[in-house]
Amino acid sequence: MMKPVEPTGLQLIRLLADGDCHSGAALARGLRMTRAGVWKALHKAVEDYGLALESIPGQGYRLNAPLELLDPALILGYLSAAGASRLARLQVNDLIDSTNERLMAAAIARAPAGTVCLAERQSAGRGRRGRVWVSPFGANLYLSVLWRYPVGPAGLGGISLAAGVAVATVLQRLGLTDIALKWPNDLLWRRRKLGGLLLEVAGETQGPSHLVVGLGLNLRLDPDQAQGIDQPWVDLREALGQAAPGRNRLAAALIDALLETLERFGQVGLAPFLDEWTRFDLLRDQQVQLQLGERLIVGDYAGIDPDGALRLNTADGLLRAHSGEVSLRLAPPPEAPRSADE
Amino acid sequence: MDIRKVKKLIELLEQSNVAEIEIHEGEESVRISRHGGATSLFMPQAMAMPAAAAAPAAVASTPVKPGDEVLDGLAGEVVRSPMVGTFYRAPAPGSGPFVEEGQKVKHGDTLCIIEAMKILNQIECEKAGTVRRILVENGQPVEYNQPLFIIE
Repeated sequence: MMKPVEPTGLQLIRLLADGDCHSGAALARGLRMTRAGVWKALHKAVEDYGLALESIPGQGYRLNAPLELLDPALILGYLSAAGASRLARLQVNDLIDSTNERLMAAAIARAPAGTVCLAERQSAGRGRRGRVWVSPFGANLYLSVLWRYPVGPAGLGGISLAAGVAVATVLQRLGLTDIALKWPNDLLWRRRKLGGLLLEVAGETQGPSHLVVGLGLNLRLDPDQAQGIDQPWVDLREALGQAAPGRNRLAAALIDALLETLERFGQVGLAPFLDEWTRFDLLRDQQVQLQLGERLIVGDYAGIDPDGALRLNTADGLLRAHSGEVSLRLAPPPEAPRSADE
Repeated sequence: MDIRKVKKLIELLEQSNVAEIEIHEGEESVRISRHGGATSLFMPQAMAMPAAAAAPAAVASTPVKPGDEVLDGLAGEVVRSPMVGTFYRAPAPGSGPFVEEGQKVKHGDTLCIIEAMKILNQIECEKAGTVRRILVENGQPVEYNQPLFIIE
């Protein structure tokens, strides 16, 4: 016999997700609990999830903004038939450390290719090199996908670029113009960070290996939540305005695209993705600098190699880099006029 | 989640090829799996995290010359880089390194991370022993097949 498993706090947040004011009495009736119980559970949930709750005297409670919570039924419903056939397992979490970490652990426990993990909030969302990925509850997307390959990790480097193409293409189809990729796969809108990918791989040198693609995408980020971000950022709410899709629809589109890309890469490698990647290339014709360990290398950006490596014309000749952090040097102001934003 | 929602999920699962849906909420979770008909099971959310390395932060002062010349006169198993990338001794800047020289390691222990194109590759120990030498400094680029560790 199945019974409801949802904790009371999350049930309350679900009732409040519409952004309307709900009276304590109505909430208590709906969940068959006391008003004091509602008060206690609600305050705990708000604290656990880092949400902003308004108490309106004599009226009730209201979240400071409506939420579209993750819903596996909606996500499955939005998936394409091909996506649903590639998806092996869907995990939806209210609060976990990191979707990447969960899938790397699941891979060791033999989770199949096509396992997908989503979270409403990450307590230890990871960016590159231990940087924190700011991951508040219910507002953005934190999504990881597991795939398996017969080859060793050294053969999988290009997936970093292919996965960037997959996400950028989804966003472009939703009407987001001016979306660009900064090598290898940072997602930028008008030079402001909209999202990022972090991949993890493990396996034998000669194969097999498993790979997790983790995506963090800003959908709605409040300035006070974003204080820890050390670069200009943007969210989809600003970039797409009214056209911004719901979280579940967007999650499904991204799962579709990432699963297809991961499977296709295993069959054909990076080659068919290179042209598409170049279309999104932020650095084209720019002077850039590359932080490689302790070294700072300046040069003219010269595109990418067939294996995805960055090419840089430097005073010492052509440099090919497989790692390091690249940035625009003395970036001129964006060409798009700011006043035309809205 | 109420019973109607669970039923709807089971229906959706049956119409698709998806084998399993897992929902984790707070202390509890539900898993709906298609194997052998629609079944469900409840399980505690107590997924143990791997214990973090408690080694104190320290900086290796091994002089580094890339390539095999560093191996002259050293005995033991050589762990080589499986790919071109950047060598990291710790999971994050400021945290302790995965291993130190002189430390005993066993099969499956993480030795380092090689990062290439934002893909992190955790290099695991394939043979138990003692870390004799760490041949590359944190944050340095490494070549394919470059020696990283000597384990004896």
